[in-house]
Amino acid sequence: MRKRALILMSIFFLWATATIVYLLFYSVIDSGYYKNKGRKLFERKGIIPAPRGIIFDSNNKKLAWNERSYNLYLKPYNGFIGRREMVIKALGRIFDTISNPPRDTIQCIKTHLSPFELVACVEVIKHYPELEIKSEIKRCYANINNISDRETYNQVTLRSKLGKLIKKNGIFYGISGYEKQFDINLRGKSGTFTVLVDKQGRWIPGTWKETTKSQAGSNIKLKYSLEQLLSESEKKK
Amino acid sequence: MNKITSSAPIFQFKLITVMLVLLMGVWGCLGIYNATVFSGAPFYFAGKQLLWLFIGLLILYATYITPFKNFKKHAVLLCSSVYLAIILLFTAGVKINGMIGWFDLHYFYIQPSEIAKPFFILSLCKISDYITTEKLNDAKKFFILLGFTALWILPIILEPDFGTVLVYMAGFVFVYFITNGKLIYLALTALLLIIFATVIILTEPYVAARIKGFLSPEATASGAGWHTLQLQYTMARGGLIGQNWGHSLWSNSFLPLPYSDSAFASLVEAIGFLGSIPVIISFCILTFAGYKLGVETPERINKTFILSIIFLITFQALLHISVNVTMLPATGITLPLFSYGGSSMIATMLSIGMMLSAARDNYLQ
Repeated sequence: MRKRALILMSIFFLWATATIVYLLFYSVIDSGYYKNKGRKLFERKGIIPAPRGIIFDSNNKKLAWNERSYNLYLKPYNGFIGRREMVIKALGRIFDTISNPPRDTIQCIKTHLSPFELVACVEVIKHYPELEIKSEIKRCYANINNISDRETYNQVTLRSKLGKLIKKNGIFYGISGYEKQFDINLRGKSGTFTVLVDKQGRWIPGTWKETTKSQAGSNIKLKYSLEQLLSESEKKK
Repeated sequence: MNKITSSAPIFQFKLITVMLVLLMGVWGCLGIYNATVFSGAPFYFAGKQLLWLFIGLLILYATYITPFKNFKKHAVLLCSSVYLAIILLFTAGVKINGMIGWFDLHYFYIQPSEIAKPFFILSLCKISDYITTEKLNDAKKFFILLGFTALWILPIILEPDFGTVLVYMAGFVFVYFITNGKLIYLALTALLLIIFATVIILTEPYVAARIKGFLSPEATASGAGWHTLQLQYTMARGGLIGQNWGHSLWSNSFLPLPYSDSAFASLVEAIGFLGSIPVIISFCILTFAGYKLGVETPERINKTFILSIIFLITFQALLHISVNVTMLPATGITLPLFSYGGSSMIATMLSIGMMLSAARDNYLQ
């Protein structure tokens, strides 16, 4: 019995040695290869848009600036019957009203989340990966209601003077007016980042890494005041 | 006089066993904390495991102070009870991951096929002892033991829990081999196992998928090969010295069941190659201590039980580690004392307690 027990124990020790060899291979000898392979599969690269510069008039009044908003999106998801209703019910505990959008495309179901709503939504997303919060930057323009009684006209005039923007890959490009004229200065230089995503494509907390720093766009100060801009337009008309 | 002089090293081996069990249990709790640290409730599983460890230690002590002759005397009753519990699963059990293997006791789940392991070994030892005493021939001995094992594993096959079936079959092989079983019959057992495995692979699609995923993980990267690939990436991240406790990003994000089925790989990520070697060495020391206790025990049935049960624990541990280092395909076997689970902890503590009791009895005589 002693001899047979010794044989079995020896087999186990040999087996244990074989596991150590395997472990050595994956965690030390070839670890670099497998680490990179894993990282490549789940690493995503992205652009960090540089904050676009602010446009001031000659009196340092802000005419165009950026504002960040957090919006809630619902993606198509092949879950069990009744899952969508569960998602809507869970969101109903946060929002007074919530729409149930079509199931086949990604839809924005709530814009401009408040800090409270944002925290509450993050908790719901943990259970429902089909929900996603996206942060978006909006370009805002001065409201000139107090300056003139011809509000609508003046607002349109100011907007056309400042110009229009288009958004490509999260970056604003000026296509007319001052936004176009000073586009290179206002745009700045975009940065880049890497992040790991899980099987559902969600970002894994703590894995976001900035690879290139973004450089914020320069602020522009115009030679004219807001009033001058408007009166000049009127004269031309 | 001889017994008194030889009891000193025996006491040392028993002490080593208990100390190792305690150390590995605490180590396991840390590992579970590490594997769930990003979940938002890292103390949920680790805290429960700590409680199971405490209960397990009480069970170990209770079984240790119970004379082994009592276990032998009531072996039929004990074995019938656990076997009945396994049968009852089909009417009162709950299905988890496609397997009817647990009783839902509201606050926790109990897996009777885990807890039944030491009693199964005890039954085999008792039958084997009876056969030797009655001087039945080898063929009879083999077929009686195999028949008993087949009867025992039948409900477990129907659950179906093939990983546990494999452990029970290993238990049969250990008892038969240790009690001077003929090698020709062991070869026959191997042949039967191969036929059984082939039938399972052909009839159970998920088993076939696991084998396929193991052989070519890249080809089924998002399906059956996922587990194998993630185990490789997790070990690679561990490197030589690991990412440190609480920094096992891969285990927490990608590895399936990092606190149970993939407990060893999760540990490798945290403490690296150098930190994981002591885990394997601890199991080797535990095996050696059990071996020493077994061979120093004069009574045949006690000796067979001690050796078989410690080999069964080692087999299960090495099977788990082999799956985790991608040497073998996934079996769903947990790592004794390290993986999360009350049933596994109770089964291991019962086994160690009964083993120590069997070793103690001889020195009380």
